[in-house]
Order: sequence, then C-alpha cells, then structure tokens
Amino acid sequence: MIAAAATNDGARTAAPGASDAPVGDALEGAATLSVGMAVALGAVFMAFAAVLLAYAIVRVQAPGWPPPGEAPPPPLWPWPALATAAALVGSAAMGWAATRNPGGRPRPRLLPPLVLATVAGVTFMVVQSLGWRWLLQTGVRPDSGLVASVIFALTIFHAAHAGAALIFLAPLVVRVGRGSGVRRSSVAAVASFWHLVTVAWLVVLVAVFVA
Amino acid sequence: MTDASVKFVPDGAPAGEQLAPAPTSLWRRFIFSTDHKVIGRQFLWLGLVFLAVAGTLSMLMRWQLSHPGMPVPVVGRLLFPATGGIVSPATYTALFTMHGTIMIFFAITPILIGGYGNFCIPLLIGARDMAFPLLNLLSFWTMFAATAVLTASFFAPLGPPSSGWTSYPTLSTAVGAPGVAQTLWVVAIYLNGASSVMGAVNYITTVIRLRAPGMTFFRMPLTVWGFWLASILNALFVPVLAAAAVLLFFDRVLGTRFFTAGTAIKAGGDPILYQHLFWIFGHPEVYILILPAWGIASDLLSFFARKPAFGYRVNVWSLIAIVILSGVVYGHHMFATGMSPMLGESFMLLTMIISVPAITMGVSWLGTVWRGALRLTTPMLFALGLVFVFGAGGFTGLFLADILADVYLHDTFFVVGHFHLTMSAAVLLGAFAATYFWFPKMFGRMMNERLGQAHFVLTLVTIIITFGGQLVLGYAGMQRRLPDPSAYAFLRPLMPLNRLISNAAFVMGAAQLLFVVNFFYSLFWGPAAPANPWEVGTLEWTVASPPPHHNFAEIPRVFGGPHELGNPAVKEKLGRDYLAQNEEGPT
Repeated sequence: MIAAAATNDGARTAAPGASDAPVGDALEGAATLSVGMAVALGAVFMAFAAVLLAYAIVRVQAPGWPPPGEAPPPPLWPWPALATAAALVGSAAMGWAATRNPGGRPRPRLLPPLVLATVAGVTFMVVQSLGWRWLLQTGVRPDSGLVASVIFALTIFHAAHAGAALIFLAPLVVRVGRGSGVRRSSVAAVASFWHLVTVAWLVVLVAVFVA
Repeated sequence: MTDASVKFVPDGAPAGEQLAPAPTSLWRRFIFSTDHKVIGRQFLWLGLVFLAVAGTLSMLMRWQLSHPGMPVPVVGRLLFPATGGIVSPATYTALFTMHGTIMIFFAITPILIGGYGNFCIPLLIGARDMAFPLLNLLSFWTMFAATAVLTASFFAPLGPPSSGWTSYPTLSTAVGAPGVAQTLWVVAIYLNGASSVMGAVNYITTVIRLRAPGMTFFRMPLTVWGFWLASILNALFVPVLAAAAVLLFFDRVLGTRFFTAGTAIKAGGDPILYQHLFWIFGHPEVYILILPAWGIASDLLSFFARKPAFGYRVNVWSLIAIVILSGVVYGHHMFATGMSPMLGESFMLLTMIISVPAITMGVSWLGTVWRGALRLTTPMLFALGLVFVFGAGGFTGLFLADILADVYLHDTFFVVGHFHLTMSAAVLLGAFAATYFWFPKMFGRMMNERLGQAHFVLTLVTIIITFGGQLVLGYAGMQRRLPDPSAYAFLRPLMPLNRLISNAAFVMGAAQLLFVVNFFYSLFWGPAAPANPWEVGTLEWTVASPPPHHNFAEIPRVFGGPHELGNPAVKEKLGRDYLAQNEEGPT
C-alpha cells in the first residue's frame, strides 16, 4: 500500500509509445486518416448489418417469400444489373486512382480515374432513381407489401451511402481538376469507402434480388 | 473528413513546423471553431441547457404523481392552458417521453462525451487537438441540428412525441403516433447518432494516433480510457440505432411494413424486431453513458486520496471486460416479450457475469481511497457520491437480471429507480465531479467550494430518497408510466411515499440552482485559477488555465503514469507529493 514509486508502468523511462516514431510527416498523417476511416467503415458496416438483420428476421417470419399475394422482386435485367455494373466500374476507378501516386503533377494521372468514378457514381444514382420510378409506375409502392418494403428500404438506405461516397469524392475531383495536389491517403480513404459501398450493394443485390 | 486531414497540422511535428495561428474573428473563435476546447465548451453549454429542460419536465411529472389532478402551481396555466394547468394523462406520457429522450441523448451525452470528452482527450494525452478538427466541428453542429429538430417536435400539431424514450412500435408507428412529432423525434435521434459516430471516429483515432511520446496505453489517465471505450461502443452500436431509426422513418413516411405486424390477408413485419434493434444499441448505450463517469471517478479518487489508483491495470481490464460483455446482454431488456426460456437464461447468466468486473472495479475504488490522505474537495465528494450511488444502483440490477424477479418488477417503478441510480444519478454525479474539477482549466477561474459542498450534500441526500423511494414503490407494485397512482385502491397507501419522493425531487431541483449560481458567479467573478490548483500530475495541469490555443508549446514527453502521488522520494527531493507525467522524477 506504500505509494513509493508505484508507477503504472514500472520504471520511469520513456517507453516507446505508438507515437514515438518520427511524427509530423506525411506517413504519420496517412496512418491517422486510415485509422479514422477504418472506424467510420466499421460504423457503416454495423448500420448495414442491422438493416440486413431486420430484413432477415422479417423474411424468416413471413409465410413464404414472396408472401402469398405479393409480386416477386423485379428481374435482374435491366435495373439491378445496370446498377451493379455502375457500382463495379466506380469502385474499380477508385482503386485505379488509389494506385496512382499523386505526388508531383497529380492532374494528368489522377483526373481520368476520378472523373470515371464520378460518372459511374452519378450513373448508379440515376439508375437507382429510374428503378424506383419504374417500380412505382408498375404499381409497386413501398406500402404494397413486405417484398416492396424490403426493396425500397434497402435500396434507398444503400443509395444514401452511395450519395455520401460521391460527396466525399467531390473535393478530390475539384482539387485535382484545379491542378492542386491531393494526398495519396485521402484518395485511398475515399476509395475504401467506395469499396465498402460497392460490397454493400453486392450483398443487397444477392439478398434482395437473387435469393 | 478528407478535407480536414489536408488542413490539419499533425501533432508533435518536428521543430520549425508551422502551426496554424489562433483565429482572431469572433465567428471562427467561438461559433465555427475547430479547437477541441471551444467545441467541448459548446457541447457543455448545449448539454446544460437541455439538462435544465429535462429536469423541469421531471418536476412536472413528480407534481402529477404526488398531487394527481391538481393544477401545477405557478407555471401550470402557462404550460397547459387547455386543462387549466392540470397534467393530463396524454401530457404525462409526453413528459416522460421527452424527459428520457433529452436526458439520455441531449443532456448526458453532450455534457460528458461531447463536452468533457472533447476538452479532455487531447489535453490528457498530450495532443494539440483532435485528429480531425473539422469533423469535430461538424459533429457539434449536427448535434445542434438534432436539438433544433427535437425542440420543434415539442410544438408539433397533435402534441409532442409520446411513445417513450424507446419509441417502441406499435406506439411509434404512423397508426400509434399520428402527426409529425414522432417523425421529428426519429430524425432528431438519427442526427444525434450521426453526431455521436463522428465524435467516436475522432476520439478513437485521436487516442490511437496522437498520444504524446511515452504516453503508452497503460499510462493514460482512466478518464481517457473511459472516453475511449465509450467511443468504441458508440462507433459500433449507435449505427444499429440509426438503422432502426431509418426503418421506423420508412415505416412512418413511406408506409413500409418492417415493424407492423401482419394480418390474415397481408404479411407484415414484427414490432418486436424494433425492440431487438433498439436494445442491441440500448444496452451498450447505458455503458456509453457510465464509462466516462467511471473513468473520471477512478482518476479523481486517486488524485484526492493522494495515492496511486489501486489496481490501475485491473481497473482498465475490468472496463474492457464490461465493454465486451455489454454487447451480449441486451436480451435482459426483453424478458417480458416472451422470448425462449433457453435464450433468456443465457442473457440472464451473461448479465450477471457483468457484476464480476463491476465489483472488481468497485474494490479498486475502495482500495484507492483506503488509508489515503483524503482531500474532501467538491470534485472528490461527487466522485465518492458516484461510488455509493452506483453501488446501490448496481446491486438492484441483479434483481432485474433475474428472469423470475424481472417478470414481476419489469413494469414497476423498481426499474425506474434502478436505472436512475445507475445511469442518471451516478452519471450526473460524475458530470458534476468533472465540472467542479475541470472548470478551472476550462474557464480559468475557481468555483466556490462552500456552494459546491452544499450542492453535493443536498443532491446526494435527495437522490437517495427519490430513487431509493422509487425502488420501494416498484417493489410494492406501482407501475411505471402511470399518470395517476391514486386511481387504484391498492396503490393509494403509497401516496405518502409518492409525496415524500416528490418533495425530495423538488429539493433536488432547487439544489441545482446552487450549481447554476456557482457556475455563473465563478465564470465571471471566481478567483483566477493557477495552472495546477489540485496539485495533480496529468498533462492538462502542466499548461496554463485555460490552456493556450494549441495546448502545448512543445509536445510533452511522458515518463510515468497519471497517478504519481504520495511518493516519499519525490516529497524529499521536490517538496511536493505529486509528479507530473512529463517529469522524469528524482533518480
């Protein structure tokens, strides 16, 4: 019980902490950004997991799928297939951008993949909007039944995150378009968010439209 | 987020590195500041305002429970003109809904996690700011938007939200709660969650990446451990609540059927599904609220017992064990839903296991105080009060963890007494301890000790009467959410107790005015605070009060733990009984 020298860490020497490495350089900032992005991705993952859990429970408890009297989910062609293509192109473009080191003169190297990703992302949003419009025109509304509930809820929830991915990308495109530099880590962070949104779409695709 | 990282000057940058100068415009300094100290104060103000609002709502409820059907004195006719100042059953339902919602999401969360989390984490680990200052700013203003939406819901046509702070369907569906109020509630909760997740991203990253050289995880103050672990729970489980909120929003606005039960001709979802999603979040949430308070109390007990924290590592591992267990016990909130007995038994067992790390932590608190040279300052009194109140509340949790007892107690005031002792009284005592302790660092002035002690005594005594009395009420069978206990013959003998509880609650409410007076008086006229008024060694006390814009002129080098107190060798060499974390010490 004597307090003498009762440190929490034994001897009073400067133990090499995590931030004991040379700090303040670009590598250090990149690692910080990737930790932050990993936490954010974990949070988004949990949100998707919860929504999919809700879908699973609703579906398991339903008297058959589609439940009696409800239309099955729409066919894969054209809506979900086109959306999937756009998502994959967008993710691939972001992956391409992330491998191109923006050091030095970033514009000529980074602009093509970032523009391609933007186009793919916008295309994805347009395809989703057309998909919802087409559903509404064919008489399928969110309150039509369980299958319709699931289709609308999951695709809207996913599209909101796709929209966030586009918002994260916008400052990068503007900077590169102006010719000012962007950090490699920023491109990598946005790319990782795009990949998560694409993976989430593939899960939604399989869970809602295929299974 | 990407933008923030581009602008941010990393901590501990090598000599010659340029720090952004402190902003000079009022706008950037006080409104849209990215300084964690300013954002912390913004969260604190916001939380204190809503604490007062939610506290007032509880006073109205207590009036109705002790004087059912009588007009509320003074403010009654102003607030409830339609009923001549009487709290109607519908109003009572709205009152407890808004009281719970505001206290949990808009008072405790902003004060402790938003306010002290922001203010303390960078200062205590030796960093110049959060990892993502712009995200931090966004987190506060998202919270602000959430409070605006929630405030609007008070004035919605058809009345304020009234389906409880849990907002279970079918009460909260478009059928059970028509009108825009419940939709606004859902939006407010979603925004609040978004703000919490942004904060969590920042806190987790800051602790992992921006600790000063030598500040190992096991040299961090327990306060930082509390905030860090609470942030991990926030990042993992608040998104589950957000998902439930989104689905409830779709159910209400688009007409989807996730939480609407099916009928013979139309398949439907499951109201109980919402309860699962809610409590998957909801049980970690109670630890999100209490973990920071535990961490703060653990540090303060050591500081004011002038001894190193007893079993620092044991304490940390207990916190970690509780964090892990908190994710797998949520089913004990749903024993009354008719879950499978096998499942219920697992949840019961896991819940009871939480008492092992909890009591381990309690023992290390007692070990810290044992034979210490106690300095009974106001922050220490509140920390000791927390230990007592949480102990009492924690033991009553064992009753509720047990399925058989819970089935009887679940819908009674016993539950109200239990969760108020643990996650409101104990947490608020922690928040007051933090305020009395860090006020000098935050605002550069000392608070009045005498007023603080009076505030403590009145608050502690009335807490015990109010919430202890509620345990008795519940054990005697009085239901929760009941607007008029005198309506039932079997509850009428409890009316004297209800009166006593209400009177204690009114005194508690009045006692908080001492805090308000103390806070504002000290803010303007309190004596100037020295850099280290409490004579403790954590890093925030090594800089001026209040700290300069970038906290540390030079990033400190850390040589020891946070509780270097009462070391005879130090006393002999330096003539004081504490050693700062950035001092090498006598060798």
